Amino acid sequence: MSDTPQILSVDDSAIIRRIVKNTADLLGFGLLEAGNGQEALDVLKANTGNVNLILLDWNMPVMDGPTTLKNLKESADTANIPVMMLTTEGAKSNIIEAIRGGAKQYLTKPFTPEDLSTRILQCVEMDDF
Amino acid sequence: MTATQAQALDAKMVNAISSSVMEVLSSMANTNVTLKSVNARTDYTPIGDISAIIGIMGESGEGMVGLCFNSPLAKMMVARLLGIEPADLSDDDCCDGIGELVNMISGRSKTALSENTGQPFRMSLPTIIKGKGHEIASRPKNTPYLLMFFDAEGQEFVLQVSFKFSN
Amino acid sequence: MTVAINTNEFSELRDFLETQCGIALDESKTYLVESRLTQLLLELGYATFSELNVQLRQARHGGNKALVDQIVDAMTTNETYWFRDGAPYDTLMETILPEFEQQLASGQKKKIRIWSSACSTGQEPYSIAILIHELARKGKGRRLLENVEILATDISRQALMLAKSGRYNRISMARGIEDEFKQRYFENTDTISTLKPDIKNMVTLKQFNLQDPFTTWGNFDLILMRNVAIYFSRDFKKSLYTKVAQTLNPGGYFMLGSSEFLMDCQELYERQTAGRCSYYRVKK
Repeated sequence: MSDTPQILSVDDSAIIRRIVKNTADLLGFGLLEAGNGQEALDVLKANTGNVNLILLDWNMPVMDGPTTLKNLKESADTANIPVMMLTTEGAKSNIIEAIRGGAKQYLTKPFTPEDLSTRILQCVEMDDF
Repeated sequence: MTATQAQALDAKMVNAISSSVMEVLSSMANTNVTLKSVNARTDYTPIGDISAIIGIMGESGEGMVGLCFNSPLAKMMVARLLGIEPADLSDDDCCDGIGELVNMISGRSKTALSENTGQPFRMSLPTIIKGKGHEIASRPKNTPYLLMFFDAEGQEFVLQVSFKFSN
Repeated sequence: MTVAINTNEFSELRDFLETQCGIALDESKTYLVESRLTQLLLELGYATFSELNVQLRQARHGGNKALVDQIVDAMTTNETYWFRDGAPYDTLMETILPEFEQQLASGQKKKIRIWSSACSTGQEPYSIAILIHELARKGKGRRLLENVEILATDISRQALMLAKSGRYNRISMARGIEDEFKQRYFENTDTISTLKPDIKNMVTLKQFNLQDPFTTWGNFDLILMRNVAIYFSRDFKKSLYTKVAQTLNPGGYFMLGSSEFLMDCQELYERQTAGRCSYYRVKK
């Protein structure tokens, strides 16, 4: 087990994962990456108990965000890890579906760097870093 | 659909798409963008080094959006997106970055269009085309289209929307 | 299955936002507003809008200040740049800060107080602190450097945590700071730049909602309230700008964002222009 808290960025865009890496650096988190939901589940299996926050895209190949969220919430190992949706899907119906599915935060793309870092801090309920 | 209804939809479309372009490029790429003009010139074909095409599908019809950037502008925006110098940006990363920016513009436009018109819209995944000085010539036949000219901190780029109402 | 917000729930929420939070919901931005409100619902842990409305009715009567703060925080965007829009900083550097130095030199003032009232993650107040250092380096701001207080407030607790750390990543650093300043005023690694203590220590950071009375903070010679009021109603802006006028020292300056202007309250301020920058000077 590593002492550094970890963020798992699940997004099929390498560019978004790079932007998240910048914010993880700032907040002192390590970064794990997955290009789709299935990869995310595999990464989590290999890092059980070691991931503090999952940032989840909506539209991805192989396994999309909502299906991934359902899988995460159904497994005892991952059900308690906070999930923040980070997606271009901004319709109210999408947000409600994600909330109902157990997501803790919902940030729509585009976002400012400040919005990403403050929402992550809210999501992990850190009082200091 | 009457001509007036079509015009109203056109106006809403221009509004939804142009405000999405400005919002995405400002918040993600830290680039100040203003809409200079909107017109229906038929004698103009957008030319760019990197461009993106997105299909729009709605209940009232379908069409496409094309966005055309020159290489220095594309590089400047993607470099700002990643917080690096334009010189340190590879061509592949530049293309990926434009793809992601356009993806966000498309997603934002879809939400704005659906909510502003009360009709659901779908957008296809963007297709990215690169090649120095290529033309965006493909336009569905007999389809009205609009050109939006934007200024991005002194550099121009063009957005083309064409939309064909189904009846 | 989705539960959409119905018209009654929406108008009740809208009314609360307008009267209790001073936030006006522009019809043209319904989609944005709805998505933010839905997000807010999630953050506050309610399953439906009517549940939230019940809480809001109680807040209205019992004054649940924390809830109001949370709502304003959710409805406004955290966004900030170093030296944003250049022009206001040119005005500070060339006109306002040298005038402050002059006032200290002539004994007209003993202290200069500056308030950055929506500082988000700190770029604005730290940019001002850097400018004052730059003036002092040029021998034109030594008194100011020794006798200035910079207060920076924001409603977001998380934004303030980031401001207090004085740490910025590459993306934030690429937004408006010159390499010369980056080298002079930051400790830099590949990924993170950290403000040096002599800049950081010039700024006092506090959590504050602009809806609350300003009386705790004392008077100021310069107040910045840039790009804050975009979501606020005209009435709220009017009362806000009136409070600002009361809080400014005689002849004190007030700066808004480049796309903002004073619609009401014109009798309280005199508009000044320098290059592309418009700013205001209180009439008293």
